[in-house]
Amino acid sequence: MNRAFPLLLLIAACLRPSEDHVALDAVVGADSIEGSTLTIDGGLGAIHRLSANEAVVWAAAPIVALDLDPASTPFTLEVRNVIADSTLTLDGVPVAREAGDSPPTWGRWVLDGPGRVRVAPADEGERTPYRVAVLSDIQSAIGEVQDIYGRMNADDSIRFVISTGDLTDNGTFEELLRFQEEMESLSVPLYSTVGNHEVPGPENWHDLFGPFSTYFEFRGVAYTLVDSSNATIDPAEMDQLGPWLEAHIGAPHLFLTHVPLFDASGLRSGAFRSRNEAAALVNRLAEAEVDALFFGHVHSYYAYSLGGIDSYISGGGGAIEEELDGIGRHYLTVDVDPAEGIQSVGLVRIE
Amino acid sequence: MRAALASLVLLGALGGSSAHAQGVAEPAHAEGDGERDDGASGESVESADSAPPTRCPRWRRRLAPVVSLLAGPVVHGAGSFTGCHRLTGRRLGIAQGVGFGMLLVGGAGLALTGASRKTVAPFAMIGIPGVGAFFISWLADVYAAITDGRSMGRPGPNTPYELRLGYRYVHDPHFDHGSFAQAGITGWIGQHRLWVDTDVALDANTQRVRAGAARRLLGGAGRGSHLELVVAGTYQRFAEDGFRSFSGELAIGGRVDLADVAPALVGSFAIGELGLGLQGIGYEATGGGVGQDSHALLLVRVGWGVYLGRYGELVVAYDHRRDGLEGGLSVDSVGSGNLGFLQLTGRGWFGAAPRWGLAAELTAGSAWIAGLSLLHRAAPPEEPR
Repeated sequence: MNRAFPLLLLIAACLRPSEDHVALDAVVGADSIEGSTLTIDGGLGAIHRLSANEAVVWAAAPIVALDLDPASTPFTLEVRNVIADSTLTLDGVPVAREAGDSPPTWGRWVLDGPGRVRVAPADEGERTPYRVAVLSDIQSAIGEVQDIYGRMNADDSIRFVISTGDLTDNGTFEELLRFQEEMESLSVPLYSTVGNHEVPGPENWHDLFGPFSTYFEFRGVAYTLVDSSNATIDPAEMDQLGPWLEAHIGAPHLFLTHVPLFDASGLRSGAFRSRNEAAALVNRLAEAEVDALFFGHVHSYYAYSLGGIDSYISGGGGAIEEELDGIGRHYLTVDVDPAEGIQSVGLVRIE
Repeated sequence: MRAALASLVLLGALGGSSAHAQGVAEPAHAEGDGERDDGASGESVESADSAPPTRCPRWRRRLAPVVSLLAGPVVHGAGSFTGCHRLTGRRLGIAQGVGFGMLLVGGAGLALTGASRKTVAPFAMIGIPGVGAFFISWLADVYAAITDGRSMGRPGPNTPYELRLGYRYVHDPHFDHGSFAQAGITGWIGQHRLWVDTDVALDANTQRVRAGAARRLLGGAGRGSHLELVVAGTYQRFAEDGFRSFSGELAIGGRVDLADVAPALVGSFAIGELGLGLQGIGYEATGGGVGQDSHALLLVRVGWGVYLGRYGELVVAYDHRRDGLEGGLSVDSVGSGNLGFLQLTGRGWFGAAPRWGLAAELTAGSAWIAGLSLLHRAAPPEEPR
């Protein structure tokens, strides 16, 4: 109980609890080791390993571009968490993918010099409908996640999975690494922002998954995955979010963040720490004509509306379930059409 | 913030001087408050006045505050016991147990149901007051150990009306507003209390109006123990952020004068409120009125305070709501998003000009708020001597 005093002081000091996440995002995806320099555009990835002649990168988006200046060649670049049919170009020239028995979402290429590297799937230029899955709040159910992956693998139309976070219980390095190891059986990549259960170890997320907040576009659809792990979005993050929202007005746009802006159950209010902050953001998202909002944190499924925007809470990855709701473990499928927006959102029950 | 802290200290001084001017309750003597070491115990302060003083060694009285701070957090009432306030210590220990039990029931209920939408309200309404009872019983023990049964004030009657005019500084990194002018009025009509409070930003287009009415169900119209039914509404307008909101609420609230609970707690009190509300929000982007979206509100407020003189007081409270300028606390941990705000408020009246006073607040939520108001009231009613 004597610890209550520093705790209370800590509580009072937390006006910007995610400020350190923004600071880490400012330097994510860039490193220079043993004479090799690698910089990922937009910080859309984590550099797991970098040496004079080798690098391993964890992608945080379907399309990854980077500047590479290796200390020596040949230089082996392995990019993990990519769409299975992704190809790599070096200064616009295709490079053959190395054969091997690595997971389908891992690509390995041998490069013969420095240059501009781009890794992207073959269909990146298409503007036809496709499907993504939304999966969040796995937490302690990491050992049971394989049946969810099995269902996803059986659906060929899913191009990738997006998540609002809480992939692990406590965000330790070992837990996050275990999650990435479990993902080796998933045939599509998974892109995620952080949940509150990743907060205790922000540097672990930074090292293994990369950015806390991710902004990317794929086949004419904008994806915004914003860090709300502390039940707020840091003002500095909001400064980055604003131009991104304005730049994609008119395009189909999915917005994902872990903590619901407003809980569908107001009495519980597992939501932003300030309803005024949430309301201001809802207004900005409505102004930007965002098509849908996806949240996690609450371990159930809700479909509702915020500021006229279709909103979904889906925390069905296996964490302690909300009882008396008849939902259980689940994930969502979202069918998007670059020309029309979101076509449908489906609930896939696992049990 | 420093100014507000200084104001709170000043309020303490005001309350103290006022207390002397108006006659503070004499100490519910540690040795003679009816809860003597010899096992005899009384139930009220009044009984203390006639009870023969029982000696409590000076070293025990001096040790009591230390014990309340070191052992008290674990065994609530330890400080009171050390200071020879056995009845107080025993009752604080019971309050700790009750609070802990409520916390367990509420917490277990939330955990077992996964915070189900169907059961979250009753479990939260058990658990949060449980946390409140737990902490209040500790604060009360520290208070009893320090004051040794000597109060700094006692509850006087409410005055027919009270006016407030002041300034609030709201530091919220998410909003441009900072400086607010604050004005309010509270009036009493029999057992009914009516009030209006307004906050108008001086540096942004943000306004807030809160009005309400309360009817005393128990406890008369004074500032002592009471229970009341509260109906209130709050309108907020954040023009630069494109939204407006209106919330209506119904709550049961009140105060327990802790002298009614244990003699050595004379001069302190606990507050609590439970209720439900509904907040409507309208967005400029969609042109909707304040009823466009609606969200339920769970209202739980618990706090502890001390009387300063007959009309002043100092209160520390936790409020579970997150729909106001205060927002809710972040803890940079997995618990984020489930807390309301902490608030320290104080008020006191000038001894030389008893119709004038000061009120101050410090609030910590997702915003920090410091406020200072000038108070004016009707002449305090004469009391029978």
